[in-house]
Amino acid sequence: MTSHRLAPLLGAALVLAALPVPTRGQDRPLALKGATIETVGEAGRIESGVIVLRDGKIEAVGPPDEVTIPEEARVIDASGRTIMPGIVEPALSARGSLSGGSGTVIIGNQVVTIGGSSSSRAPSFSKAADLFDPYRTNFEPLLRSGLTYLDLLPPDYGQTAVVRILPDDPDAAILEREGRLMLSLSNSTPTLDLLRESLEGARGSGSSGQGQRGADRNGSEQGSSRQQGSGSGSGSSSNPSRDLWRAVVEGKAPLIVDAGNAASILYLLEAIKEDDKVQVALIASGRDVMLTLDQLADRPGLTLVLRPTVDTMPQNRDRINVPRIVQERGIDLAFTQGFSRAALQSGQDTPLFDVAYLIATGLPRDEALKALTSRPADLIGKGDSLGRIEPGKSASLLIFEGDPFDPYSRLRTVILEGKTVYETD
Amino acid sequence: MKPIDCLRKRTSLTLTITLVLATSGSVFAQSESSDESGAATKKDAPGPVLAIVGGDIETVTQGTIRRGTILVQDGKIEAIGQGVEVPEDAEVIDATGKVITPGFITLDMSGVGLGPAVRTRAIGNNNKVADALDPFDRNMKFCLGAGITAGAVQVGSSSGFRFRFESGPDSEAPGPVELTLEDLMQLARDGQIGQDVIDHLVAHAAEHGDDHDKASDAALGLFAGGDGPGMVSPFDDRFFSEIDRSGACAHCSATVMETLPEPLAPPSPVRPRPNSHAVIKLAYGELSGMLMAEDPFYSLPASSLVGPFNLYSWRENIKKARTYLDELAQYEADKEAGKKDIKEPRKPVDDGLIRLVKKEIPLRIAVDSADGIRSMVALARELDYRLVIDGASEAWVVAEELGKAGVSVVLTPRSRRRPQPGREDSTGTSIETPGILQKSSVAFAVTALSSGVSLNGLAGRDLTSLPLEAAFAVRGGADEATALAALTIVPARILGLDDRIGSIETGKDADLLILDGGPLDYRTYVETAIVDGKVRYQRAEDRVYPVFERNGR
Amino acid sequence: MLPFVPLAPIVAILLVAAGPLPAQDPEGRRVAVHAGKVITCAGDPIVDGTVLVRDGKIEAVGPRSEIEVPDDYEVIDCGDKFVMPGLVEVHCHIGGSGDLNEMVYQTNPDLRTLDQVIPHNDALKVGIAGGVTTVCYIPGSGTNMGGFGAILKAGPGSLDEVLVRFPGVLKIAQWGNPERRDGTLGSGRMGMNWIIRDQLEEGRRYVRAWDEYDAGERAEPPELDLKLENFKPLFRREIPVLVHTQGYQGIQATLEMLHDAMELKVVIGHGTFEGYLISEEIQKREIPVMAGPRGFRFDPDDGQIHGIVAEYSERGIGILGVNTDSPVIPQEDLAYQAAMAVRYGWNEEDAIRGITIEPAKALMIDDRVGSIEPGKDADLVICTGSILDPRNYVTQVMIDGRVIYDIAKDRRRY
Repeated sequence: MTSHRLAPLLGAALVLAALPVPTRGQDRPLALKGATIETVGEAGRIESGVIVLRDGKIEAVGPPDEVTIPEEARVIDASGRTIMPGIVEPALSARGSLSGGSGTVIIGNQVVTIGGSSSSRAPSFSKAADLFDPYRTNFEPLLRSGLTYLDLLPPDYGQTAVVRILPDDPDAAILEREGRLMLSLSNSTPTLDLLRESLEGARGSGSSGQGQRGADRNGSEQGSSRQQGSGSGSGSSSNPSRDLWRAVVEGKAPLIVDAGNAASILYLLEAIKEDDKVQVALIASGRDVMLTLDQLADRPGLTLVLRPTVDTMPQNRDRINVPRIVQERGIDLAFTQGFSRAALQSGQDTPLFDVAYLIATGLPRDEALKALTSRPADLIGKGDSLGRIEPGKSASLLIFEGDPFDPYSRLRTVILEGKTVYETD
Repeated sequence: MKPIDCLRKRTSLTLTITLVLATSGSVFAQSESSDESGAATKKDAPGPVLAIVGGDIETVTQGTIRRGTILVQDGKIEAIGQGVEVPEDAEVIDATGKVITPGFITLDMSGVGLGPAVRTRAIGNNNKVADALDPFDRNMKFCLGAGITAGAVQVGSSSGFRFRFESGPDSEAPGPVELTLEDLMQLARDGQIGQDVIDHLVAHAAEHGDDHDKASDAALGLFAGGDGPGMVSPFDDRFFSEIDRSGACAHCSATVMETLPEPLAPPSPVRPRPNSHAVIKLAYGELSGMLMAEDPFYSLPASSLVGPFNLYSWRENIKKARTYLDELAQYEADKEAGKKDIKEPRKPVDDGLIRLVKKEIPLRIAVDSADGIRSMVALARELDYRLVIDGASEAWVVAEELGKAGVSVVLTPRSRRRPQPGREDSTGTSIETPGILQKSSVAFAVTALSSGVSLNGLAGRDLTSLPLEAAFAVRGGADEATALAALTIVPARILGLDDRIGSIETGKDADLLILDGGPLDYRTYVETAIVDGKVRYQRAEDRVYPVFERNGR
Repeated sequence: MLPFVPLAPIVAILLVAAGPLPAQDPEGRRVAVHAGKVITCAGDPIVDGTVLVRDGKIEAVGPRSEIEVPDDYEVIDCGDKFVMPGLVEVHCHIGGSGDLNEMVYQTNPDLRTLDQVIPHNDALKVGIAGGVTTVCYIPGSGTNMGGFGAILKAGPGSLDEVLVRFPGVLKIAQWGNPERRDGTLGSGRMGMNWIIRDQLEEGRRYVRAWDEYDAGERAEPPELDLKLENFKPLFRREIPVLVHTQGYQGIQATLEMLHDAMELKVVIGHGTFEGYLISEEIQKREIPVMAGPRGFRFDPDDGQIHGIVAEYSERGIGILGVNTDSPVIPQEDLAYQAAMAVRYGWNEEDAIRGITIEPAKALMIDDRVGSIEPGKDADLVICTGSILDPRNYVTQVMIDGRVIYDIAKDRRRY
């Protein structure tokens, strides 16, 4: 039942003429020279730099006079090109498209897919990894958008899974089955009770006590309200959601919240008011962020996950650059392309056009780069291996013809863990 | 547009954004400063002081203070008067030449400040009002601009509505598909439709509900398929003249259907089903303090207490509630005395009925005819509970009796009910009702012609014309002070919240309006609305209503 | 027991309403009205003024100090109250019964509301209590051409006596109600406008033929066609067409089709939504706009409410007024419609004119009503103050020199 669900999600898109050819011979290092390198790390931007890749990792990066290219290395002259870390998608939502799909209705001039379940009951816990079928997933549109890793969100509530975009090796696509806790929140009692009771339960010191009532209840509802297609953590003796909530309360992993509206953001902030350690990755619309900007700016440990689009003001149609405003208010920001973005962009290979537009209207370029790479990498707990071009980190790179934010500059090559997974002519 | 064209336009876009930033920047600056006072309410140290100086203060309960000063701190009124000293560090609002009144209070509000979870709360839905507030509801701005700072909002008024849509491509079964509001909310949560679409559809349901009262207009047959109120589409600001002949909205293609699981009326008092209300503050942008009270009255539909069976059951239920209270008192006394083998009595009726019997809340019921009003007054006296009469078309006929019984009235001075032919002297509405009630010492609150905010373009006939309704009370013979009280202290008393709202007195909530003219003048605008001590609305900045110089045109 | 005023006069008034006129002949009656302020709608208001009424017409108006009241004049001293001309409603559906949509044909120039009139009916009576003395009673907008409307006085009397003019106006509805939703011609705007043009063209040919005959350019008279007969005053520009039109696009078509091509006297009814954006083109043609019943437009672009009349006024529309589309808005709220327009930015003086002389001009009856000027009908409204303020109310109304509403005798109706 769940196995085929991601097929429509990841796009039934086009078949590329040039299929990516994986680079063979891992022992032989690859050196890219002459390119501008956006490291997004401490080294910043390196003009005419050199990168050496070996065994799927970055061995060295720097100006030509500081990096020695190994003799055995295959050297590619990348002069004029720009290399940046692969884009990390922090919140690929599976919502909407994972439902049974009983049909569509026309509301206004919009075709809307109606799903099976809708109720005022508490959302049930599910694991994104159980819903993901790499064999039925078309990775091409994601690669064309420069996505290399993504955190896949469960539909309403549950655990995320980190997926890497490996079209030729589906078995290895799931990098991490046990991801972070994610919750869709609205201003309604069931979702708020779930949040508050789970936090309360996790705050309780350990394995016993009534503090766990909330978490236990969540666990039991999971079994009753949604038939699990495959064995998830529910089979084991420990309660998976309880451990995840505890990690959240202890500040070990962020809580990913998809806020349905501005009011739910205030309810969220209220619920975690006393929990200074709780880190939140908040997925919200630009409009809702604008309405709650003051409150958001006051919350420590918060990263906003936003779509890279120009929004309109909540009360009128004046256009605003919310990422820029957020950045100016000192709030951390990560970009999510979202599945529809990726699908929409399947026809073009200038995936960062939207971000370029935001930069053109005032978002600092460095911030934009971070929001695409290092910050989402940190969010999903992979900051030590992804999101920056630094020695020892994963060799997951994008090579653009020129400036990634120049609409004339196309994405030419995607390298994932040292392998070329996507290439245009 | 080609991408490159877009970027060429960048300069103009940048300009737009900069401008927006400039204006929004000042808004934020202001809310930041008011946030400080909010944060300070938590603990010991008192927050900063807001001083409103120079305005003519209509206190409602203590007369008018010319060119007075009001000090506000921690959301409360600290001091009022002409000789009040303004602390040096106070934030000062100069209201010279302005009029200051308490915020207005309405007893009938729908679709304001609540999220869809309770706005459409159906039977069996366990959503709590406290969890479903929406402090960013745009309707709140329209209400604040009309001076409304608090009110009783209907909970769950649109429940039972279904919407019928045409099925789209790839549907398993062709033909129309019925969706409930909850289904649609789920679609909104899924990001498939926007909140604006939900609002649009809820508006349909609301209008559908109103139709029952306006059947007389429809019967005129003037408007093929219902000209009536149309609507400006929230999608593209085009107008769509209502629901067309087949009952489907020309724009969203929804047909609204009412499919209540049980008949709406008469809800038998065997199991009374009161309408649910919540009292909210229009504290735009802030959750805390927004919910003032729940179910401030026991509100029964008009038909609930009509007919011998309904009346019999009602008496029985009141009796049960009293017996229960007696038994409970006995039980508690026994428990106190350490008796064993005692059982806590089971509650035989809903909480609201018990609160009614304890006189914590009044019964609120719509009655129009003089006879009906008399029988409700007699019933309330017999069963000993407080009574508020809603609608009360013929209250002018029985004003003295109402005055003697101390019964309050909620009315819309402009509403009209035709007299019975030949009985024009004692039936139907009278425009002079407010004056007659005032002479008979009947306290009355005014409500607007309709309880929602309407953007369909018909001016001065919805919730946002509440103060004008009080002007119509003056037209009907009430004096200005009584009319202002009908917007403030009287509804506050009916809600049982007159210790907090409804007048400008030391210690009360700082819900204040700064007006550019008399509160009952049709030209007057609210310049600033303050709720719980914070500025929540400013005409010049919020730009909800037209902004112009009165003499400039 | 009843804390309330007299009953007997009410019964009396009802009898008056139903039955024939009382014995007293209004002709020859002479009255002098003194008031704190006389709003003439023809020049500045007169403080402490006097209006002389004779034979149902206004004889003189001026400052009290300058007007000599002959001895045989009955004096009505209103103290400091205001006197103003009776209000004129251009868009009324309550002059009789409400069956105003015959929907078999899409155009119905043969139909007339004259057949439906119920003089001084209950709704008109309440309207009088709101100061409304003249109404243009028109068909509904269920078809593209609903028929011809009649202009009436609101007071009691026989059809002859209350009738100001028939044909009063032609009612055309362009869109926003007359759509046929069965998929036939007239389901969309192009089709509906074609249906209107086609019918008008037929009417124009008919009227031209008669005009040629009358001018001696044609020997044989054309065949009489009752269906087209009422087009004669229309195409001779003696009466206007009142158009149910709204929005920029709709009004643009109104101007092109009805004014430019058909050369009709046009009155824009409704004119709502963003219709004011085409004001320049309207004013170029000096076409009256009688806006409403919608008084404002919410513009999602700026998230703000805009007063429709104020927007027209800002853009220089010369003949500008409001309507109630009664019973959409109750007839008695005509002044309230103007008040709301003021609330949303209109000028108060213009608003008073916009419910008196401007609608009279639009209906081409300004030689008889709409202002207090010698020679005009003595339709006077006495109000406790400015009629725009809902706190004020009408105390007396005179139509054709006869007091037909007086709260000292009648139960107050509004």
